[in-house]
Amino acid sequence: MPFQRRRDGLHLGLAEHERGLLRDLVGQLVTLLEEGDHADPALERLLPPGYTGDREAEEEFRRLTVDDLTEGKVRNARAVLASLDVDRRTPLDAATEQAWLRSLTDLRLTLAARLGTTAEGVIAPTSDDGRVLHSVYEWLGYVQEVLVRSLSR
Amino acid sequence: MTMDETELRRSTSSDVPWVTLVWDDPVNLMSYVAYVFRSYFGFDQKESERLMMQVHTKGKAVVATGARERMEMHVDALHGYGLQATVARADE
Repeated sequence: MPFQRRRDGLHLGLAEHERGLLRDLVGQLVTLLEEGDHADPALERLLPPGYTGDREAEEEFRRLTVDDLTEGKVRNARAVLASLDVDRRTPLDAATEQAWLRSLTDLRLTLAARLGTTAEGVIAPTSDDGRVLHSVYEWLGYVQEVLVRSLSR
Repeated sequence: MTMDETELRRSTSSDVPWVTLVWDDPVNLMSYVAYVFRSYFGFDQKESERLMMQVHTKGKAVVATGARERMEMHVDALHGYGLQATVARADE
């Protein structure tokens, strides 16, 4: 199981190759947030508009919120990266649990933007690379589902 | 413009409340959306599930109503959770 509830708290139960994959993905997420082009569909989805149909209000809202929102997402991602290197016997603290929850969401939103979406969900890819990305996306959904259930108990 | 007209205009614009809308997206897990409604707004499980299902089936749901600044605060927080949320006037 990716997360395990024990008496002293929630533990990361990921295999080493899964940790490696997450380090890579979360590292890319940090790069996207810090250096990405704001016309990138993935960034548009991570930093969405606060108003529809009122350009002036939307621009003002973005001006006031986008930097903190971006920094918050970067902070979460860095907390996840740090927790991947902590001794397995140490449980996650509440702030790190939340960082995982939100970073997993941001990763899934980013991969979904890369795969393309319809109203029904992500588009099933036909290329080999796309299929790999799609299976990573599905796996992240499973990891997040386990985490949500662990936190809901 | 007379005094009455100014008063009238001011009262109509401030009496219309604002809302926080959450929009359906094909990516976020239903369990996660319900979790966010529970943990951020403090709704009970039943209300969180109801709102989540409304987002899922109707495409959007009003999750809060009140002053504009407060709705902007909610939308900003929901963006932090990765939900698609917007501020709108209640009569839109």
